[in-house]
Amino acid sequence: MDFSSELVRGSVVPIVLSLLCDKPMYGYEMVKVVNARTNGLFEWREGTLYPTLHRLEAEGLIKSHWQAAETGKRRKYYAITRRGRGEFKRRQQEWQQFAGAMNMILMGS
Amino acid sequence: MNGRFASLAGRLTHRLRMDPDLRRDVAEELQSHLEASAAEHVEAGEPPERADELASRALGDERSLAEQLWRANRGRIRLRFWLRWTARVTLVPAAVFAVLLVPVSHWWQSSQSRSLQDLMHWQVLHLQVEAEPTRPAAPQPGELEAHPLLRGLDDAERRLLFGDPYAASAAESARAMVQAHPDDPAVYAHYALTTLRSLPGNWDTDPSPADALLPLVERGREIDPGNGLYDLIAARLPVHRGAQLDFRDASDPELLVRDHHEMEQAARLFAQAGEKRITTRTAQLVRRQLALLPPARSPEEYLLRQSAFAASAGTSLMPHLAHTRSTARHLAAYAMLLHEQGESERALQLLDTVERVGVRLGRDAEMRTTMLVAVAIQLQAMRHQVEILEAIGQGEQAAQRQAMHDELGARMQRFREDQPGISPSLMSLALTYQPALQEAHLIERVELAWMHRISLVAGLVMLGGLTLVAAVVGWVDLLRHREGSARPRLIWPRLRHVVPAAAAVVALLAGVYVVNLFGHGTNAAAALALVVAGLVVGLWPVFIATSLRRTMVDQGLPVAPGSPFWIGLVIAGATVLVLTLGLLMLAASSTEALAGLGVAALVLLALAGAGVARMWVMNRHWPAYRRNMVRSALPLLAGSLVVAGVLGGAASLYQERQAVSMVDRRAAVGFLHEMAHPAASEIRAWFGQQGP
Repeated sequence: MDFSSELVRGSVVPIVLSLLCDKPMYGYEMVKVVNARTNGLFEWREGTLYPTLHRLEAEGLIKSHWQAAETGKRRKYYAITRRGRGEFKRRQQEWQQFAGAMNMILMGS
Repeated sequence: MNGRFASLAGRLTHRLRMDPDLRRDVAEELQSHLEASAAEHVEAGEPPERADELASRALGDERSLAEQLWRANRGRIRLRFWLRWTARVTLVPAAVFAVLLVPVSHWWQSSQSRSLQDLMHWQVLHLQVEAEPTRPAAPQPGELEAHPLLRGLDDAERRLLFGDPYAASAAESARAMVQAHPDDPAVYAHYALTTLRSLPGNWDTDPSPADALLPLVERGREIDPGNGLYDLIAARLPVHRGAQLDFRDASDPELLVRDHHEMEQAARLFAQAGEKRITTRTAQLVRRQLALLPPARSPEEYLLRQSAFAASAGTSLMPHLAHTRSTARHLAAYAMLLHEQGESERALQLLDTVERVGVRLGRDAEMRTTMLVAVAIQLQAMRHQVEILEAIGQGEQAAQRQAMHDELGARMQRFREDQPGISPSLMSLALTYQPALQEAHLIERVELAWMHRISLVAGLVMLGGLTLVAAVVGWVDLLRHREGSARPRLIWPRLRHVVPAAAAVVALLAGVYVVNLFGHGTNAAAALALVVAGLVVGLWPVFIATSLRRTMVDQGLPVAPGSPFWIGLVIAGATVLVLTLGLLMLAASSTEALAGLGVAALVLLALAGAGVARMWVMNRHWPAYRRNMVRSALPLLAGSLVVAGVLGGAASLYQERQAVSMVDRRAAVGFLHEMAHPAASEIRAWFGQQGP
């Protein structure tokens, strides 16, 4: 099942924050993790990730640094900031309330 | 940008070209993504060309992504643009300002001090030391009036300060002061003393000074009737006419009396003086003169004021004290002559008169030299009293006088031992012309502040030179490599790499300050301050290079092999070791060598720093490393200069003001406070208990 592009685009920020809560990651790694965890249901257009990362970095929710991998290739890692964690918690609560409300409407529960 | 995706990355980031550093950063990130994606496709069995195509396609629509990247980064681009612009406009000028601030303020203070010094030296040498063949010329007309220190003063105030600066002699100058302040007892006393000093030295062969002195004394009595000063001056004349001491046997000079009436007249005048307060009002006048000058802003100015006015006051005061001492000596000898002629009662009465003058002089003594003369007069009178009392069989009274004599002598001895071997009034005079004597002076805090200022200036100039070199090299690199991968990168070191180094430097400086507070002599302080300035200047760029290199390693950027940190540390450690051994060896033998050692250490450390810079930053085999290092070090060096200039300059000013406030009102520094010394107060209190 393909999700609508609006739904996918709206979910990028909480997903990125969620991933970075665990550990610092580079962009391509994030794409791979999301694809693996969602069994390909979230087919991100890979390019859309970078503007989001840059925007989040400009807002101070994440920070980046270059680091050489074991292979010698340089990769730009992103890590969540304290402010980013606060924003993630806020979005989590927001999502729970939203999902609960949607469930009540759509499922009648 | 290199690599097979460089073209695509270049197109995607074209709109970010306003910020070359950010554009390269984003492009490298996208290339890294594309290469990883393509590599995975290759692993999955796709041919390389197909893998590249799939990776590029997975990134999404090129035009849309370029637009999104622009929108996501445009805020940062603007911010970075303004930050860079602000840094360019402010940081380098601020660094230049910081480098120049301390030397310029030092130069300004020195020029102000020199300006003051010129005035004071002229005042002392031209007017007071008239016989000096090399005395400076009088100022040009209008020069004094236009002098920055005197500009705010009106004519009467300038007269109070310098009298008539264009007068031919000190006495004429002092007369001009009196004309501006006709009924001022302090000004008149200064005039009287200056005139007394300017009279011919040999009264036996030169014309009699009576014509000059008597009107002077009469006017003085009118202006300051309660002051015995003028009676003392007047008493010198009949003594001069009535007797002469023959000092061929210095231990027991013989008095040759020419006219007993003159000696009796001198005794009467001395008795009159003893009935009044005796003061030259010198300190009173000097305080008023000092108050006319702007407050001292530096230790140099403070000490210059103190020493110059002390010198001026001292040269006026000394002849008067010499005359008073001479008159008292003549009268005491005359009393002994009367005793030998059988007039013991009259002799004791005369000695009482002499003693009373000594008491009056000591009770209102304004400075140490006056106190010394008062005590000398008193002790001599007492010795003669004891001699006479014993001779006429009044042993009990003789014993009492002897006990008082011994007590005053003991107090005087304590005063001598507590104070420097030379009176501060005279020490200040000596200091003005023989700066080498400062080594023996009790003003180490002031000297320490000077040393720290000199070290700060030396350190800032060296750091400024290094920053200038980095700026020139960095700008040339940027001009030569505006675009592409060869463009020097601006790298910010991790805070965790910089903070410990900065803390170490601050701790080093604070440690030196604390160590110096305990005082180890001026030369040791100078050596230590210069060594630390050298260490800081030598090590700080090494710390910067080390932290930048570690960040470059983290980011996978090319770096030269080895670490500058360990080399810097080894050089610094070896230098400190050599210096410590040198200090230990030299401490016992030559204190002057310590300062030389400090300068040598500074040169050594500068060379060491230059060697490290040459070895690691200018390495031709690692041009990218050198370019990145120089460009990234520049803002850090400039920032360090600003911080060091502002904080160091403020600390230096604070330290100097503290030093001035510490030495202010200390008897050892200013003659105005000599009598505040406990031993001096003790003697003055003793005089206060003697008689009415």
